[in-house]
Amino acid sequence: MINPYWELIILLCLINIIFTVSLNLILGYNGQFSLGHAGFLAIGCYTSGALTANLGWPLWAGILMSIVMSIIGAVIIGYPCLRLRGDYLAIATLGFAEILRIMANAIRPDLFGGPTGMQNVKSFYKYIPVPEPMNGVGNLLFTILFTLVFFALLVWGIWALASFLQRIINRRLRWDHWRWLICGLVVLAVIVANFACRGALFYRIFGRWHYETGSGGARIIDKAGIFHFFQALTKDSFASPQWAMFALFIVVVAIVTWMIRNYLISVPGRAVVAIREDEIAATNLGLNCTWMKLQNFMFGSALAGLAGAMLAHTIPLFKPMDFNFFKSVDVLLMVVLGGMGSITGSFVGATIITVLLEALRFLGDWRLVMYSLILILFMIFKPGGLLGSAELGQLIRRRAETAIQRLVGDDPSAGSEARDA
Amino acid sequence: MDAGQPLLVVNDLHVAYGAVRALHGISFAVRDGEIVTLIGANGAGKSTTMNTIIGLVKCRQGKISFNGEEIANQPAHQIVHKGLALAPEGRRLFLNLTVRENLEVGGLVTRDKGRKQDLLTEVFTLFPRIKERLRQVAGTLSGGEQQMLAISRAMMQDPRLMLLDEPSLGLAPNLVQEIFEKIRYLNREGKTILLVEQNAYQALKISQQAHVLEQGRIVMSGTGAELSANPKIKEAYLGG
Ligand SMILES: Nc1ncnc2c1ncn2[C@@H]1O[C@H](COP(=O)(O)OP(=O)(O)OP(=O)(O)O)[C@@H](O)[C@H]1O
Ligand SMILES: [Mg+2]
Repeated sequence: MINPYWELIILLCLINIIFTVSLNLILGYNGQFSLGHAGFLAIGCYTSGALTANLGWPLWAGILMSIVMSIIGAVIIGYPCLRLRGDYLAIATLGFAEILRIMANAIRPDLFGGPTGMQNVKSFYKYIPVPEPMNGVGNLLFTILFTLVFFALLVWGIWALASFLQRIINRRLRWDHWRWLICGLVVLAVIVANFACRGALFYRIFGRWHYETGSGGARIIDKAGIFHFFQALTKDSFASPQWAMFALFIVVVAIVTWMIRNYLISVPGRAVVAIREDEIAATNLGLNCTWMKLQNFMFGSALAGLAGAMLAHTIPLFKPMDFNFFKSVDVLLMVVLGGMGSITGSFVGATIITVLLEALRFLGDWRLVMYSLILILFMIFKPGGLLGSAELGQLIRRRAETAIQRLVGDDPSAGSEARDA
Repeated sequence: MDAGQPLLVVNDLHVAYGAVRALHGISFAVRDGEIVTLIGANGAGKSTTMNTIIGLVKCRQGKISFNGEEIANQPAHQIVHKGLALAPEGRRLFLNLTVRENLEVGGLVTRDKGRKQDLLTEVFTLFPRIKERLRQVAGTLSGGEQQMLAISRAMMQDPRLMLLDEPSLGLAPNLVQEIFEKIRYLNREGKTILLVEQNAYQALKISQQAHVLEQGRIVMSGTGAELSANPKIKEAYLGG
């Protein structure tokens, strides 16, 4: 068990990742300023909260309605603003978020809780059935699955590394089978290392296997290997609702990421980036800019609404003040820090700021000063954010390529202008 | 070159930017398979004409028909789907995107994957330089390469009529020559071309029809050869 405080922070990180990515779509990829993004978070939070807690809707319907309401909000704000070029959206969203906040304060306290907020929203834990401790067969199946995945990843990793090195070496010395040689070398190195530490390495990985013939009949047991590790992990931990929560959130984040990836390589996704670069040029290439921008804004807002709904059922209470302008600044900071136009950047940005927010809680209102400082420092030293507009994988590959080129002695400046497509 | 049916017909076009009137009723036609050139001094209204045809600027009055269909004042994104493409003045590339991404965005209106691949092959045969630089960021291309990319991007839209607004802007003389050769090649491959040019001499040489614009009016029309022989034109646009 992870202690509940850290558990909440991990869950908040995951929610903030979705929230950040949703703003990055609008701000980073499309270049539209949404300065009141907390407004959409509030819509999600209050819709799902009020519907499930006060009107007796089921959870799934509450979450679905959060998304629908956010999309409706996006159309109301986006349609008039996005037809124009310029920063009208920034002002409009800012006002929109404030109006929503004031409305949440004043309207229907029986439904929305008024200024003190909502405290009766049921947490996800109330919905998740506590999983039974796993029986022997289920445990074994999961263990085998995890072990297979582990070894598959290991083999794939070595293969990817070998293929990568093959490309580099081939620039100097053409030979099609470098990667086999490299794989062989890696295997050899592992065996040698195992000898060097007198078998401790293999013991850690494969464990030591025994037959045990006890009262329950003969069975195989494994001490200390990967298999053993997964067996222990799945047996106890998977029975806790905490792990179920983590799994649920991670699955949602994964699905969201996958959807965004597909969106970005589709026509609307590419159009949106072109519009950010030059809207007039995009128009005369045949793109319906208003519709593309609106679509993007709706998608981004829907994700923010989803994040809001998840938030409602994760934290014990929320109130209108939680969705003020500073919340919008928080998420802006996460996007800028991670890198506008980088999804993995948003992951990093959201995680860092969420943890930092907690770590700096003792500063009270001085935290805002820290924010400004962080922003200013980034503007000076790394204006593109941590990852710029590249994804983490690309960045690592590019770094590694230049480093190795330098080692091999190729001219590293030759490829410096090129960018991965 | 046998001139076919009129592909584009502009009739009595009036355009104004607020109180500033840019075009005072111009009319001309572009026939299928032709190269037609508009020449004129700065501010004569050449770019305005191009932008109005493609739908970026709305007209006050007048008719534009493309392939028999009325397109005046329709939104640009609909006009483009009918088979017109503009390589705008100043190129307007997506400077932070790579060459490949620029071409991809140009090809977004073409839904057919196979056709897209053919278009890409066409671009690469016309501009081998573009193929070499696919991964380079467009902003780091030289001026000539940027112009090639602008034309390539317009080609990716698979147009019947290409509108080229000052394709030789800011290029060295030998590159200007190269660009004109490419335009001619495109025309031979079946593209109809409406060209706006400051390099009047070169442009008139390759075009079947030409029109001279002055302060929003067409003051003279004729074949390319006629206009380049005309003493008035010689004095005003060909440097005596
Ligand atoms: N967006 C605009 N707003 C106001 N006036 C404009 C606008 N665009 C063009 N004009 C005016 O319309 C007239 C025609 O401009 P246009 O750009 O069509 O000229 P051009 O013939 O292309 O000139 P150049 O050879 O310099 O490109 C000019 O007087 C210009 O100042
Ligand atoms: Mg012009």
